[in-house]
Amino acid sequence: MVLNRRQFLHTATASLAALIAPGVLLKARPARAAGTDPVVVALYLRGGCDALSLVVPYGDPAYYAARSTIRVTAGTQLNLDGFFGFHPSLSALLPFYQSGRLAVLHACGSPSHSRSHFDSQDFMEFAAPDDKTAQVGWLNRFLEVAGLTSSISAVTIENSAAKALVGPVETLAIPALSRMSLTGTYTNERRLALRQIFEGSAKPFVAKTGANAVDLIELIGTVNTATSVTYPGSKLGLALKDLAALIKGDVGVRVAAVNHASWDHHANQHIHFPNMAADLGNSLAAFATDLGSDLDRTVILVMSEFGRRVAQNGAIGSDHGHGGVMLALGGAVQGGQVKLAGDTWPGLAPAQLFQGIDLATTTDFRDVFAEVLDRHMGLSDASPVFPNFSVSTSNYPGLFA
Amino acid sequence: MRLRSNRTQGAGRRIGAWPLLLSGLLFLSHVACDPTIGRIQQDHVLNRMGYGPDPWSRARIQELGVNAYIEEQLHPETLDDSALEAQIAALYPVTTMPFGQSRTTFHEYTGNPEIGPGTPIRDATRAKILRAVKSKKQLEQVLVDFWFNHFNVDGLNEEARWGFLTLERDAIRPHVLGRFEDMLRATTQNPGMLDYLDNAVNFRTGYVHLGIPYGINENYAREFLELHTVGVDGGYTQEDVREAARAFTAWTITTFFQPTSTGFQYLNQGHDQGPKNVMGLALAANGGQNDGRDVVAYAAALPQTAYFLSEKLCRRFIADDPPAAVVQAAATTYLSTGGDLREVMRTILRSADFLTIADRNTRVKRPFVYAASLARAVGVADDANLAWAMSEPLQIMGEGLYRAGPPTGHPDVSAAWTGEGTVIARINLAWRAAHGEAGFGPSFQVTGTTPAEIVDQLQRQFLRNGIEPSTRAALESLVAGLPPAARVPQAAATLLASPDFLMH
Repeated sequence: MVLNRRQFLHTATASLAALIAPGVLLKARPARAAGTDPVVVALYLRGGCDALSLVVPYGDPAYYAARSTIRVTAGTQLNLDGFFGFHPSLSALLPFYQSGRLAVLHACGSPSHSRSHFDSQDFMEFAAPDDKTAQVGWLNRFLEVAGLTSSISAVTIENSAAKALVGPVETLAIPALSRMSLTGTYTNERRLALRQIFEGSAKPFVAKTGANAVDLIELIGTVNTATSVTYPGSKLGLALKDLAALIKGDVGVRVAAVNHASWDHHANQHIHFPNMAADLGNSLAAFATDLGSDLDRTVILVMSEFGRRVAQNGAIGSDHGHGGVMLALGGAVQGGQVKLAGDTWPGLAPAQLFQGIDLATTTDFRDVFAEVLDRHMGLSDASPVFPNFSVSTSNYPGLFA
Repeated sequence: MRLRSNRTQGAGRRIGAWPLLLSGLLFLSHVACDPTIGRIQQDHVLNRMGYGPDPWSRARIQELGVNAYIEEQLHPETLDDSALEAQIAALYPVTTMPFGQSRTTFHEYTGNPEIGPGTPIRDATRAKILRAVKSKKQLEQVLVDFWFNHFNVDGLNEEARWGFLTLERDAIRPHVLGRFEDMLRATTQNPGMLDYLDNAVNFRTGYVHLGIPYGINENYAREFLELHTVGVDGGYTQEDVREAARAFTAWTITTFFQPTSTGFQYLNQGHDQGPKNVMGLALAANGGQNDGRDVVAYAAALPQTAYFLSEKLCRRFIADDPPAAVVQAAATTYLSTGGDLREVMRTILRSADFLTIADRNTRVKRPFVYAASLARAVGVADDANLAWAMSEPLQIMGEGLYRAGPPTGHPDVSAAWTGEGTVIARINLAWRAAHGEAGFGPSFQVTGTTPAEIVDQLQRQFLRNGIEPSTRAALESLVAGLPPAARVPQAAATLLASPDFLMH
């Protein structure tokens, strides 16, 4: 028996979604054909990506004054708008920017003053800066409010759910499609026994996960993982390759999370950063190419917990900073621009810095998230997703027409 | 050594609240009378303070009683692992080498896959698997893993490829039941730590080391405060991070590596000799290496550190969200004993919160715990093969040993180990275990032939803690449809992937 996604329902109990008719908060739309539902992908750069190296403000002389050896050499950046330029390792992404499908959001990040990786990651993924009691990811809250409570709606390409997806609505965690199969004798009886054991279990954590896992053995078997696009062999490349297969296969995935680790460059940044950026750029470009027409219904948001210190440290590296950068990639994105709040770059001169040391944050990451949920995912009111935050369309960075 | 029998254990315990004390006493009198509940509690204790029951530990806890077994585990020096340690030294000689020797032996790619920079992590992983599966010192093994994750370094990171090994062996293991301050001090001088968190390149501004000018690097100092001692809510500021970084300037790695070298050196010329203030600790000018030493002693003694460490330990041994009272009790012990971890552990392991069987099988086993508990349950046919074969599944399940990238180490809450992919990986490992693949050597204590008998006897062998009704029903119907030869191994494979065995 092969379960299709409509049979693949293990809806969360006692959730807000259970109290309201599913989907009522989504804007009325004409019935959609298969393969047209919008998708959002959250790609998290863990460790605090150096925003000033990823998207270089080469028009700001203070950039060069602060960074004698970790600067991107003047003239080698890939020009975006006469003031900002991509790191040279992001060359694969330049065509997407130039064709208007990739937007940059600079001086963008969290209002929290924390320079802890782990608190800052939580604050962003829970969309709750400085609230250490928050425990529900912003994308899980979206799933709940939008009534997308089938567990196939959301997946983390990892061994466990990204914090952005953690919460009352069940989501899937699949590290690799190729590993979702059973060792040993495969019989329907064996699969059904496993299914019954998990289905009938009252144990937290493992009961529903186990039942989902057994169902996925057959469901994933129906997904075509072949592609003509060559991905980098990195963990990120392989994760995005699997995610593209799920999106193209139209199994019902609407929300996805992917991690890219090791952006914490306190030393020898000039050696490590180009490799990381190349992996990011090449993997993302392969993913966008592989999605083909499905890129039109997909938005990939690239984010990190904070940017890094403007001045380089004593070891050809940089310490934890504040303001950062986000990327938004997708067919529907109004790209080809570096978007700045008020169209103003806060600047890198000492007097312009946050606490005298870091890039200021002028675009709140929640305004970016809210615009994506509203304008792309079709959520009529994004407010319930963002506790203690006033969602205002006038603060949207303008990612969509 | 203080030994108490089950019958008197209630009198000696320290419990903050009367209702707890009362329920504890009622529970314990019940345990003393009912051998079934006694065995359930024994397995619960073996699951939570070690890598699950094996024949030796079941016999030992039956012989001594729960409290005396705990007490014996708190004194691992009284337990004999010498045969195991000799076996490990013979199989994996790099695990016995000083930092300098393993670095000089293995730092070049030789073309021989057995000898190269990948050797230390490969062999240390195998050694750690064997200790988890075979050591009598089960609590010590769990604590070494706990504290390694607390002081995590990535064993694939440059000098940490050698230093992770001495971090665990020389800085952590000797102190897991000693004083926290001693462990902390040892970690501050470990080359793996110094490299991984970049203190090796933290010097006073402008200091030229090997021709390269350096300056302050905050990375280590921040994680020292946030992860190793007071915790992220411990009350420090960005300024404290900076001051702590200055205190640790010039604690670095040796430039040349003699075979006997520990890899640590302090370069006084590179130290920032100005006055400093770290979280209220004033350090006068020209403190030299005493700056860092004083910060270690100061941070280790702070109440925030006591609470932070106690909560993490209670999480590991009791619950994802441990009761406040037992955290308080552990922290009180820490502060009243100068950070004596044996006393802290005794407080935790003798608490009603730890001993209550109501909490059995409610935390998801981490992959390493799951894999080791499988081996301990079914038995091992070939130690070296098992250790070899288990390394990769641990990586697939997300807990590659010594391979956690972030300085937080591998996470320790159930949600982090709950995912569809890891369930499939566990189902597959259980199959291999029950079918004698990958070095496992299953021996099933099954004499019955009916489905009910087979399932019942396997449950008594592997899950004395009990199984859910749905597990029993599904197993019986599975067994009924199988040819006789496949019945026991398939039933065992499925039972060992059931929710009760996935949790502890």
